Amino acid sequence: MMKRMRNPFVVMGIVLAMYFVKVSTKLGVGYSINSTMIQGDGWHNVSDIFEALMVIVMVWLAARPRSEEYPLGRKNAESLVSAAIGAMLIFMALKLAAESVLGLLAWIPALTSSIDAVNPFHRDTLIVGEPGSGLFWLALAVTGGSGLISLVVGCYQISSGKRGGHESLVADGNETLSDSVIEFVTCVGVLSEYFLHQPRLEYVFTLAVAVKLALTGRELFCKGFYTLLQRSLDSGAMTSIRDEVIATCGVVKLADLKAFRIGDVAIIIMKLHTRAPLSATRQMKKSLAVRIGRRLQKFGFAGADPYIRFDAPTPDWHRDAYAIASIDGEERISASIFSADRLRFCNVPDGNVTRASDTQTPSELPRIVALLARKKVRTVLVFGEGVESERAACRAAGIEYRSADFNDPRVYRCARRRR
Amino acid sequence: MDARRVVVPWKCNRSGDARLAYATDLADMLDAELETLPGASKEDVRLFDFESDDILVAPWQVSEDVTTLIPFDESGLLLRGLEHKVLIPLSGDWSGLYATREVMPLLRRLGFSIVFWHSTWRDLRVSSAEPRDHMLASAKVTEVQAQDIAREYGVGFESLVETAETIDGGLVFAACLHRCPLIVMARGRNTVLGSYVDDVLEGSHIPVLIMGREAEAY
Repeated sequence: MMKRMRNPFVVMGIVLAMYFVKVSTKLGVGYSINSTMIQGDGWHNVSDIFEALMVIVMVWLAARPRSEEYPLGRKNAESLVSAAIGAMLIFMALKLAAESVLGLLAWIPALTSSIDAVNPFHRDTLIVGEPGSGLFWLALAVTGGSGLISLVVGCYQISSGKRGGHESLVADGNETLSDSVIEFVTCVGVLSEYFLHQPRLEYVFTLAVAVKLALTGRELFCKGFYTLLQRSLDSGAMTSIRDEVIATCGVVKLADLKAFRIGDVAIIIMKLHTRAPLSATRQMKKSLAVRIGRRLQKFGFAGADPYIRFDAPTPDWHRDAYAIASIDGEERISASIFSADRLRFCNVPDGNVTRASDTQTPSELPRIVALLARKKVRTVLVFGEGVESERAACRAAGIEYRSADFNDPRVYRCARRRR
Repeated sequence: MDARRVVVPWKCNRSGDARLAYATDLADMLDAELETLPGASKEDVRLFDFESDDILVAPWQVSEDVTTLIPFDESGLLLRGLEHKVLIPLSGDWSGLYATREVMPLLRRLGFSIVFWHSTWRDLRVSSAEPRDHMLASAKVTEVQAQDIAREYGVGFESLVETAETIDGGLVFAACLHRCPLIVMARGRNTVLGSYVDDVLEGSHIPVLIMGREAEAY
C-alpha cells in the first residue's frame, strides 16, 4: 500500500485532484464574494494543473529504460521540469515583490492615489462582511484550508520524489509548498482586514515570501540547468570520489576524472593507473561503484554509475649522474663535479638502474650543468656535502644535487662496478 | 605467531623500494626488528634461517612454513587511510580457524578488528534469499569457533556470509568493499592440488598475509 502511494503517477494523481478542488472552490468563492485576490489565486492554480500534467509526462519519459539511442537514459527530462519550475518561481517571486513594494508604498497617504493609478497589480480588498458573518468564515476557510492542503501535499510530493529519485516531483513539491505559503499569507491578509482593518499588512509578509520563493526558484533552476549542461559535480563530491579511489589498494594514480549528474545518479568517467592484474581490476571496479555510490548518498545522489578505464602507469624514467674520479687507480665517487674525471649517466626506469655510460667532465661549471640538463638528469650524486656553488648552479637548472647514500645498493651498482 | 622480526628481501627497483617501505612501516607498527636482505634472490631467501615468529615481506612465498606477507605494490599498511581491519575467509575446513588463531596476537598489537567472510553455494532446496540460510552445518560451526577465538583475544569482529560467484573474486571484492588493507589466509591441509591462496594471489591487488604452517598444527 505504502509502495503504491509512493508511485509518482499516484502522487501526481493526488496533486491533480487537489488542484481541481482548489480551482473550483477558489473561483466559485472568489466570484461569489467579488474577491479578485481569490479569483487570481484560482486562475494561478489552473496553470498549476498544466504544470502537474507536464511533470507526469516527464516522469513517464524519464522512467523509460536505457537504449542504444539513449545510453544514459532520459532522466535529464526531469531536470528540464526542474529548471522550468525554478524559472517560474523566480518570476512569481519578482511579481510578488513588486506587488508588495507598490502595495506598501500605497500605504503612505500622500502616495496612495498616484501609486494606485500606475500599479498594474492593484486589486480589490476582500469583502469579508461583518465580523462573524458567513462570508468571513468562507474566505478564511478557502485561504487557510487551501494553504494547509498545499502544505501536506507538497511535503508528500517532496518525500516521494526524493525516495523515488524523481527530481521533477521534488521541484513540483517545492512549488506546491510555495503555493501554501502564499495561501497562508493571503489568509493573514483576511485576518488583518477583519481584526485590524489593515489588509495591507499582508504585503509585509508577502515580501518575505517573495525572498523565500526567489531562493527556492534559484536553487531549482540552477540544479536543473547544471544537470542539463552536464556541469561537474560540486567540489565536495569530486573530492569524495578522489579520496575513495586513492584509498583503494592497487591504484597508483587517478589519471582522469569527469563526473556529472543525470537525474539523481552521478555518472563518473575515470581513468585509473594500476599495476594490478585484470581479474583484480574487475573486483576493484565493482567495489568502487558501491563505495563511491555510498559516499555520494551524502550529497543527495541515489547512486553512482562509474565508467572506469584502467591503464598501466607511465614508467618513472629518469637519469641520475654520478661524479666519478680515479684515485690511485681505483674508481671513487668524487667530492664535487668539478673535480670528477667523468660523469656516469645512469638510466633509472622505475628506480631500477638498467644502463650506465661515462662522459668526460667538461672543464667549466656552466658547461657541466648544461650537459646534465641536456642529458635529462634528475639528480647528481657526489661524495659528502659537495660544493655550494655547484649545488646552486644545479638548483638553478632544476637538478637535484646531493650526497650519495652508501646504504643504497644502487650506488654500488652504478659507481663501484669497475675498479 | 608473534611477529618479532620482519624480514624483507630488497632489490633496487620500484617494487623493491615499495616492499622495503611496507616492511619498515609494519616493523614500526609492531615494534619488531627489521631484517633487510639487500639484493637477495628467491633462492637466497629460501636458504635464510627463519624463526617461527618471523614475517617475510616478499613478492612470493618461499616456504609454506614461513608466514609471508605479499604487499604487491603497496608501501604501507595504513598509508591509504583504510579501516583498521583485516579480512579472514572462513570455510568448512580448518584453514580459516588456523589463520584466525595464528594472527590474533598480531591483530591485538596492531589494534585491528576482523571481518570474517564466508561464501556459500546456494542450496536449491532452500527458498530464502538470505545467504546465511544456505550455509552448511560445518561452516556454521567454524564461524562460531572463529568468533569464539576473537572473543578470547578481545579482538572485535563482524561476520559476512555471501553467495559469491568465485571464492577468490568474491573475497577480493569483499575486502575492497569493506576497505580492508589486508587479507589473512592459510593453506588448507587437505588440499592436494592448487589453493585458494594461489588464486587470491593471482587476482588480488590487496596485500595478503599467508600464515605459515607449523608441523604440530598438522
